[in-house]
Amino acid sequence: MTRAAVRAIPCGFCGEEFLEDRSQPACRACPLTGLCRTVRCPHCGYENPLTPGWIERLGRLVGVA
Amino acid sequence: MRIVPNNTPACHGTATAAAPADGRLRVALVGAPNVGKSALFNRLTGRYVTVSNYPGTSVEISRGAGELDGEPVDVLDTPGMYSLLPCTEEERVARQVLLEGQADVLVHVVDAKNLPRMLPLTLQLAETGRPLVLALNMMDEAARLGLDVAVAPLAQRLGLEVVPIVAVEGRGLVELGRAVRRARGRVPLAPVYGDGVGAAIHALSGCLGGRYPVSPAAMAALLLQGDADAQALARAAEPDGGRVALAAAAAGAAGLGAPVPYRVAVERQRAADVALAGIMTRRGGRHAAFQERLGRLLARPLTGVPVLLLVLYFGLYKFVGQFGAGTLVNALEHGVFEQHVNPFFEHVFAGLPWPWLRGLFVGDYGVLTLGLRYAVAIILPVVGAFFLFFSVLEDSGYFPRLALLVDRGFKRLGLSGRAVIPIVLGFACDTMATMVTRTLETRRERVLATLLLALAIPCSAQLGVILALLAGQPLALGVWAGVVLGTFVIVGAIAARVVPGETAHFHMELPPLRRPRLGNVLTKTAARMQWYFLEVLPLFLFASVLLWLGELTGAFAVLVRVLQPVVAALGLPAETARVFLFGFFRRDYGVAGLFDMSRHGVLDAGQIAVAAVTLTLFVPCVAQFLMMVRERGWRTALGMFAFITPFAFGVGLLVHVALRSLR
Repeated sequence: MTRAAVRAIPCGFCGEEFLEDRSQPACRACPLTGLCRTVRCPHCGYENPLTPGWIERLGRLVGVA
Repeated sequence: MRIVPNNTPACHGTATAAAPADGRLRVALVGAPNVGKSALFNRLTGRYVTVSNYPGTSVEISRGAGELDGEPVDVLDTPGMYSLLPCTEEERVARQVLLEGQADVLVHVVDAKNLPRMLPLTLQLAETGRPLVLALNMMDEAARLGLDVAVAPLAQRLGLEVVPIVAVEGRGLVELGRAVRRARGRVPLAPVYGDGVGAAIHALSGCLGGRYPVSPAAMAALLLQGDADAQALARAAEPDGGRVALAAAAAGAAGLGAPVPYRVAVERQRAADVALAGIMTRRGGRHAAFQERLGRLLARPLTGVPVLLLVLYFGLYKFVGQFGAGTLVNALEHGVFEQHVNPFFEHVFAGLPWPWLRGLFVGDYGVLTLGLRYAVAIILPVVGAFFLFFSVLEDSGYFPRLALLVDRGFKRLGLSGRAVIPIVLGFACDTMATMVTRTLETRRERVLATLLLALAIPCSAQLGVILALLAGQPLALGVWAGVVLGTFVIVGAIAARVVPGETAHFHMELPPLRRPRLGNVLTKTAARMQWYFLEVLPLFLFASVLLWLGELTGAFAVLVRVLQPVVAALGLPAETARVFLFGFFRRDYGVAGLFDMSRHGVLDAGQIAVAAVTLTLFVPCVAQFLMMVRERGWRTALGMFAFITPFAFGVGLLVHVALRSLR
């Protein structure tokens, strides 16, 4: 499967960096509404929250991202 | 340490996978978790990567095309590994990638700050005879800690290319490319061990006549340690089916004395320490030394437990319980909802001529006056305060130290320190945490963690509201905390004896302790609050509709009547039955109902303690139960449900009887 490269995210638990989209299989297994926008670290399994789009846009607007 | 040319005589041979047809250099990034392999992979590869599961496993491997020193390369990112003797599926896959010869050059990525702990794997990789480069990553952090690494002398001692890099910034990548080109086709020097281990490896190497994917010394080391994959390779590669080699390995292992993996690890560490003698020097770095010392103190029981209690007291009790669920909820509920929002909706719907339909929107079970108020005025401030506290701890690097701190205690419950991850996440959301139990090493650990999450770990909203309810009642708070913690420990210890299976082991590299960054903390808090609100609001509104329907049809009254004898036995008023019904739909919805009752003076301190204990231990909400079914199967999930329901009411009854006898 070839796809666009994604951001590397530092895990909030183990500190290891991982690619954002590696948590997809875990998301598909979840019976919640799919709104959590967390990514599971492939090294330790910790669920890390992704930055919401509106915060990224706000950051760009004020020039801090 | 002595380093000698790798012994790879022609008769032994080393099998390698065929190079790709386009002749591109294939580079594999290997190393422990936490060392920045993925960051380096991202730097080296372009816009597109290929991700696939390693055959027969759920472990993912990433490949990408990139450039090193102007030469096109294929880069392979392997799962984290601590040793060539695998403990986990990830390590097994990483080793398999190396054994299959899928790379022309291995780049061992290490955290320069933790070189003494990482170098034993470098020695193991060098022992395999595969071309190898040692990449010292995070050199910037090492410098900040006041650590200097003498790169050239280290390279000379190891007989390897050694390159300092900062992967996240792309520093040192040109030098890394040159080093990879120089290492191509070059067999690294092999370490020689003392204390009988080196002699045993040498003797066994001489017995290996087959063709192997790694050097005879590496094969001999694995055989001595009883590695099953290596034994299978020997059976396939040796002309006599491996009879002589395996017998020699058994004799060598017996000569070394058990446990051989420990003996080998000690010798390898000793060899690494010798290689590093005088290589790492610390200058100044008083601040760094303090951080390291503080980090160690947090993970030791004598100092770590008091700190944990302080964190819980100030973070959970004072901040989440008193400030979040007290001050903020008061301000929102009284200041906003009771004064403005609810009167506004009552006014808007006052004109509706059908009272039964008006009840859907406003009134006791109205979606706007109950569902919206519960979600926005009670739950949101509580989870907001909790997520802020949680994000501060997360960003400081405290959680991995907590994992080490509780590791020994958790072992008595059949768990390892790794189970801290789902348990900690359970305080945010038990459903998400139940899903995360799949990352635990053994089935036994997964079952035990699922049970304890369902039974004794309150989710964020539940915890915050209960702390607020009990904030002015220290005795009731003590009863609740003691019973829930006691249940966690006693049920865990009994379950660990009843549930069969292996004991899990836990080891992890500790990331540095750091000062939480405001931007990170606020972003993570906002992300979690957004998720919670978007998920909880529709469910709360839906619950209100169900309650309205139940009220309208009389079904709700029937269910409440069925539960009333149970709540009466617990010494609780009849309305509490409603709270338990809410609680099965959503734990936080139920506890918000309890909060409401308490605010109206319906419950005394003892009743609050009994209701809080029962509701905390009570069956998980619908979403968590579905997740339990998905993760553990119908039989296990129903078994847990059947145990937890009477258990929760039984413990509630005991607390009620005990408190009554004390009065």
